Amino acid sequence: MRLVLPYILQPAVSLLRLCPRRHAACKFGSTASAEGPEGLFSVAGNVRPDWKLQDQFRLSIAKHSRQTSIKDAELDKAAESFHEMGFTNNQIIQLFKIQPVSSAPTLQQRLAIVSELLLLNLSVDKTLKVLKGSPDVLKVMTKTLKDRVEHLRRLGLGEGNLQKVISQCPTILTLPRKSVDATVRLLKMRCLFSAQQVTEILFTTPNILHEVHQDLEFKFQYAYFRMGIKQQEAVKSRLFRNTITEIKNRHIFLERLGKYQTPDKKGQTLICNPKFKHVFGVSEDIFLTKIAHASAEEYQVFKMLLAREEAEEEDNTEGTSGDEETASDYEESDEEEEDNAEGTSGDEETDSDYDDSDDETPERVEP
Amino acid sequence: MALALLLWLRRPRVGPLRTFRRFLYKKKWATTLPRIPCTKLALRNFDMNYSLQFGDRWPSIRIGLLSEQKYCALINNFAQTEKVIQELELLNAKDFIYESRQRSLALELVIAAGSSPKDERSGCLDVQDEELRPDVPIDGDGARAEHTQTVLLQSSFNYPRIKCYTFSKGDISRFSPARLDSMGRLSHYLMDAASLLPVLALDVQPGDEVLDLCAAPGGKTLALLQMERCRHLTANDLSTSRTGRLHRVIQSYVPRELCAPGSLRITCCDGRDWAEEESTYDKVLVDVPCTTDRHSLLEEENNIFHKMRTKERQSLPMLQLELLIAGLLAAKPTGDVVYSTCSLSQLQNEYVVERAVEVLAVEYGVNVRIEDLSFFRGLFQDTFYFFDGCRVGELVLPHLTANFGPMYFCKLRRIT
Ligand SMILES: C[S@@+](CC[C@H](N)C(=O)[O-])C[C@H]1O[C@@H](n2cnc3c(N)ncnc32)[C@H](O)[C@@H]1O
Repeated sequence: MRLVLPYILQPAVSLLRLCPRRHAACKFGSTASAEGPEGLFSVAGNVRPDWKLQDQFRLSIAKHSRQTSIKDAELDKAAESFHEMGFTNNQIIQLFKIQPVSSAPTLQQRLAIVSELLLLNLSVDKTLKVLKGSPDVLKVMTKTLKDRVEHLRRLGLGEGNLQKVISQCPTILTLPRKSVDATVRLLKMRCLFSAQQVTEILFTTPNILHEVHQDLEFKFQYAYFRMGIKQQEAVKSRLFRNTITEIKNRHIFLERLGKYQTPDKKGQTLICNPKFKHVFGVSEDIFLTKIAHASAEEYQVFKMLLAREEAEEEDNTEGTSGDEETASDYEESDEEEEDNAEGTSGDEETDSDYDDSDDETPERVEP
Repeated sequence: MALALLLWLRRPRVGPLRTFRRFLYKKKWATTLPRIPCTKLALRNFDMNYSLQFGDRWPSIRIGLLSEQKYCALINNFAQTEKVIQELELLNAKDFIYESRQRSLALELVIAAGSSPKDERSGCLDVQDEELRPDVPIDGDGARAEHTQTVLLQSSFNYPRIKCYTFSKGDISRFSPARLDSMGRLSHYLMDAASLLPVLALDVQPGDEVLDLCAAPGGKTLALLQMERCRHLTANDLSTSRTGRLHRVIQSYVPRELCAPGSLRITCCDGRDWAEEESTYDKVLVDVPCTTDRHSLLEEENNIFHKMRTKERQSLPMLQLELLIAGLLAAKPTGDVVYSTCSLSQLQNEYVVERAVEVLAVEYGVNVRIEDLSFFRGLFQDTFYFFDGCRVGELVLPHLTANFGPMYFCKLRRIT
């Protein structure tokens, strides 16, 4: 839908400049103040005078940006360009309302970023969503944005996947390449994920790019050493979607119920463990009814108890292993294995546990 | 007799001999013996036995056992405790015995207002005694009404003078440690609230001669003393060091005049030999040594699942049986015995009780009746999780939201 915006009722517009928004809305009897201009434009078409539309545009421009005076002509031109890109009036208003933290992108900048996003094959809707989810993207220089996107492509996020990731985690576009690289390096070098696995992690859980590296690494180490989760399983189970607290809660809950056992060196357990994706990839409800077979009350109390246990363990600088029942204990297990399962020490032994015959060995962090 | 006991022990109906296939594993002959922590051995043992015994309920019990247990604060009636009680009530702790009494009183009033008090009397603690008390005349309707009245009064008065605070289900708050009052007595004693149930089940009446056969470190002895109902209390334990602890506990809680030889005697001998002092006591508490399930899962030290103690552990049911027999023989005819353990094991609970009844009848010509304590479940349902699958006696199951127990208790009455 394209609208021609004739310069009519110029005086009204200039009058408006002096009017506070609410007053204007009231005076002109529009629904602008109701935060829902849909009503207005669904019936608008060309019937209503267009000064109202321009008025809407101007008013919707985020406060911060409004301070720099924008000429009417400029505003009209921008609106027209957005129309050409496929935006409806309503969407233009929504777009103008998006405002990055402590910064006022010019109209040109808005236009540039939007067209860059549209060039990525994002729909107008998705583009709006991305900018709403991460207004700071409007601050990024187009060249930088191109670079970042290109970089994500090189990390293996191909057509389709790239768009999904950006939609799911729009803030990814605000991350400098360096920071993305650092996370990727951590996953590859310290957690020994393959390049392909890293791509899949980025695809399924792009949010990890925002995580503090120490936390991310600890999460992996907990899953790897304490639970015996291998890299591939970590990827498939969406492990990284959970916070470390959630991981511990679910794991230790199951372990104490007798429904999870850390596999021994040969990957054997005395009981049949649930699939990791059924532990970590489901809602709490499903987890309780389908996997743990326990009541919500029990789980609530357990979470409180565990939090207290952990806090007290932290206080206790001795670091005595608190979990009395790590399960990978077989008759044939030797002392090193016992230690390993307890999560106490024994770097030398545990390193050899890696499938990947990589020289790079991660350091253990004591839980 | 010993032979009969041995024969019985040879054929356990449920036990470590029956295992699921998935629990079987190859033994590897290593040069160095694996040092597996006792707590893990215990867990393995429990997984095998209790998953059979409790089926689907085992996981929930298991996680209870492996998580922090709950305590209660037994208020020391002999100390100045107003402040402590105030604090406890501020923390929202509740005197669970008082609460259950209020509930059951309300229930009784409803019953009294109704027509047939006899059918529904199972709500009150003194039902069992009521049946046998000869001095209650029951003739005609007027007497019946009067009788109901008496039941009401008695049941309210017969609740022992024990104040015991617990946090309600789901509340994981902890109690602060006991404090000394101006007289140098401690304000409260922290213990598993379920440990009070055997003491309550004993239902000591004023003037009773009482024996606590395995008393140390003295939680239950202390509760017995708080009631101030025993004419005389004998507290015994085999272990000298633990008897020392018992002494210290009593000294820090109970006024000296109540510990005079005329009212309290602490002895240190093998409870199995008590049979020599027969038919003396109105009430006997037999709180036997057991696999102490919770302790065995948490503490390496002094763990009964240590490989070196296998024999000792295997002969526990035998020791328990002998102690219960001694306790029953020490009771007067019409006297009551409460047997208790802090284990979930059938082998140490129901089987010991049933076997003791058998042995007493066959070998001593003494008739013993197992008393019904199922009304305890209703009485204390707000505080504990009870198991409903015991053939005889009652069992409190650990549960995350009410993490007391395990505590098994069974009341036996000597008929002859
Ligand atoms: C479960 S504990 C008793 C706890 C105590 N009733 C309380 O509430 O604090 C069992 C006690 O039985 C004692 N014991 C073991 N064998 C015994 C025996 N043959 N005769 C008497 N006491 C024995 C142990 O020393 C131990 O203190």
